[in-house]
Amino acid sequence: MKKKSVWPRVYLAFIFIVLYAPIFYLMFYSFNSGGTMNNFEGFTLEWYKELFGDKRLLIIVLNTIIIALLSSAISTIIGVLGALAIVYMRKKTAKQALLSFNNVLIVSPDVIIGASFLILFTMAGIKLGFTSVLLSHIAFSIPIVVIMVLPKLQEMSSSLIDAARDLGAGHWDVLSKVVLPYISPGVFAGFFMALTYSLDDFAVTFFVTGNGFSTLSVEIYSLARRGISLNINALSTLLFLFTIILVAGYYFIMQRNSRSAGAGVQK
Amino acid sequence: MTKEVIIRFDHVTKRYDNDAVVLDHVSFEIERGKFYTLLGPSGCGKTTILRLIAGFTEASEGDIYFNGKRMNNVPANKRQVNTVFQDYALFPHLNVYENVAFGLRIKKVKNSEIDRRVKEALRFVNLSGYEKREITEMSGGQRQRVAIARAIVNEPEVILLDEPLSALDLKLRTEMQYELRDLQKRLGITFIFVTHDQEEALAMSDEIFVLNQGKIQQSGTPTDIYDEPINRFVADFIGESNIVPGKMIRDFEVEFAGKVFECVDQGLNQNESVDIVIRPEDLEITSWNEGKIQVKVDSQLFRGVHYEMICYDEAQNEWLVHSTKKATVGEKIGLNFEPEAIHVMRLGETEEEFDKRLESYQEAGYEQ
Amino acid sequence: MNNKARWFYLLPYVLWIGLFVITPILLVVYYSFFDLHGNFTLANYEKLFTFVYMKMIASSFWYAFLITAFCLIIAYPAAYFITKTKYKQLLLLLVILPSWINLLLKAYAFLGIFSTDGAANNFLEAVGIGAQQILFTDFSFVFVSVYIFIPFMLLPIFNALDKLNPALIDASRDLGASAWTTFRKVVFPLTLSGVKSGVQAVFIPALSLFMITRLIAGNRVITLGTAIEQHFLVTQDWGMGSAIAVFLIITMVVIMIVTGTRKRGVQ
Repeated sequence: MKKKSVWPRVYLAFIFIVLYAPIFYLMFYSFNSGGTMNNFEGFTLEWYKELFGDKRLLIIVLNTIIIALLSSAISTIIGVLGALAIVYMRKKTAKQALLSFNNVLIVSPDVIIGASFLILFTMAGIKLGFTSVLLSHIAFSIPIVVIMVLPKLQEMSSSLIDAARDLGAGHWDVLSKVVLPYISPGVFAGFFMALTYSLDDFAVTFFVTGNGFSTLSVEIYSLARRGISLNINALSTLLFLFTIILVAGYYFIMQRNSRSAGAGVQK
Repeated sequence: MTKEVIIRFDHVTKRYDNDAVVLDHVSFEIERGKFYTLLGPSGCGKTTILRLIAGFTEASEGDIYFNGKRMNNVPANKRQVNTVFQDYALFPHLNVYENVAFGLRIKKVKNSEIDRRVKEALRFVNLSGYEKREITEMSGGQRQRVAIARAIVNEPEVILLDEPLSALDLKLRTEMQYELRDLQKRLGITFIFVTHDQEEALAMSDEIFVLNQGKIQQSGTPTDIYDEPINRFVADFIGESNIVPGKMIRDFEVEFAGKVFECVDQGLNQNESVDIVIRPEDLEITSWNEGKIQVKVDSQLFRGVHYEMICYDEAQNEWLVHSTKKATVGEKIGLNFEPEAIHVMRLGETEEEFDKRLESYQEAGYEQ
Repeated sequence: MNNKARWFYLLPYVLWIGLFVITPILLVVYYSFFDLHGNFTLANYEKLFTFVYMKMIASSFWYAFLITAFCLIIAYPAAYFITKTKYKQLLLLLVILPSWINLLLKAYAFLGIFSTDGAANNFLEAVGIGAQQILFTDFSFVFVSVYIFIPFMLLPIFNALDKLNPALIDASRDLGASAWTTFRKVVFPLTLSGVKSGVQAVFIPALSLFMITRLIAGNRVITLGTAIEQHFLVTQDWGMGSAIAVFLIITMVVIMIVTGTRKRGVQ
């Protein structure tokens, strides 16, 4: 056995401390009665109370959730269809073209997506607000769903589809009884990723939203530009917990999925 | 058994996108209730034949008949055949019971009927009590059986098996060979089995089609093919062989390795160049003087049931010998063999010509 | 697969590509040829090549380079050490987790930490250096950006390292290579694809950051992203904004070609 150096562990510990310190710093001061993020004067839940009393903010939270759920649901449907279209594409060049187009929005900086969508909606005469934000979120979530679903479709042995047809399944049966159940972990993952992208998005929404409609990210930005307010700390604590729950849920699904696959390898 | 043709290929050709031809004008008949094996190296077209029968791919030319009806354009889900896939293709999201029930559910069979038939099929493959298991919890051999049960539960007229034993270890494979053979006898349905393993083919089949480069090289019972290979390829592919060039002096007399020997072949031209095949187990070791051919032992391996040695005669022909007797490397020995052990192969003879020649022997009173 | 079914899959997806991938890009290019009053002009591009804009572009590249370089220097050893630990999946999850927390909240946390009486200055005073102006400096901008982008650099490098067959390292050592030579000649070349995707994932967004520059760097640092946002949302000069966006898109394409590994990863 080689003697293990402690430096790797020290290094990793340092990285993790730096990664998490700001988050816990933020959460810690959400309980500060002092009103600043500097010296902790005493414990209070006042900021949380204020948060829940803020009707405008609650509506924004609701908007954010509705946009996230709607956009990820719709983009999941279109994305799954798109992934199927790519996989069933016979011509290699057409397949490659679709994949390249798919990746454009994934690699494009948010600013460009936001700016170009702003032009698009203005030209199309769509009023900036709920509709434009929803459409943009659907648009940038679709390629993510495709990317999450494609590997599952590609790893699926073509003999599974042959087997289903061999056993008498028609086109629709093959899709609903074999393909969709098989790729469901990928579909879930895609939906989930779309959800988090939508919830997290700031830049695109910032460009395409109009007066009177705001999502949480945009709201936090305008609050933060005005300076420190411990409301935001309270809000971020809640958001952090929410993220942890989402991530745990996501990993639970992924874990269950990989465990069944792993068991297959073990035997 | 009455001869009843169930599948007929009539000059079927398959090529992919102007690329090389995979199947080249293949014609054959499959009779009801027999165990067939399509045998050949990878890329010979055996799996393509299977996929054509199943309906996963379409013939470029030629006709495929099923019970006398042309079925080139019938989609896979409307055909009376079921396939056991090489990777089993079991649905990972369904348990054993639901995998087997899949085809019946598609056909909207009544639940009570499904239950009866699934259980019966699982009993047939010795998997009673495994209904609730997930596919991932099954071993390779068990998955194999589930795949077979899933095929037989639909009561097809033909079952296609695409190298289904290739993923199993040696012991399990031998076991499954017996089981498959037994299962086919009990069910009485036609099995078409694809493999590249000649031992498997010889052990299980009623009839073997040996394929190479998109053509059927030879068809016949396992003993026919083993004893009378039609050409170099078949002789080489089925079992191990010594193949040396020779010359037919006249009927019943052939020359090779610098000597003339008595043989049982006739009907060839005088002084026609031929290939001579002698199986290694037909060669017997004896002393230098008593042997028909004199060779020097070059190397020897102990193979368990026999010794395998490589010898060279004076003309530097290589002779592979399987013998229960031991020799010494470097020793000069003699090799003995019966006239029947000599198989004469005409160069470039087709299967039809070959069959005709064999028939002429029988007319002359030579029974093989 | 019959044709009708194929169109059913393809149609919504192709519509999305047409409306939200191709059209927006064409619109941006189109707008870049118009001035504030809607007249066709090349002035926007001429302006792009003036000293002021070239300086802005150069500094934007410089900052993006700095951010990417620091990310790489910090993330590569971290990824390497993580693959060597027993709990690599858990540690990887811990690295990714902060990336799922809203970007704005992380930036906001640094508003508190870097403020005049914040934690960072308390620390500096404690070690005897004394309080500094940290917020609204180049340092704070680079630091926060690196903090935010580290998971994006670490993940692809981790994946590449994780895929590396350990027998290769043994083989190299067996053939007489020292640890350092093994790293230089075997490990690093084999994980280069991971480094490239990491660089892609950091450099392009770093060029187009605008939210962090506003919150953390005051208005000291102007990146391509900030400039686009400024033109679209503040001065309403969409033509100039579009010209900068076109420049950014071209840069992005060049970077993609130079580090072109993404397609292989997706395939």
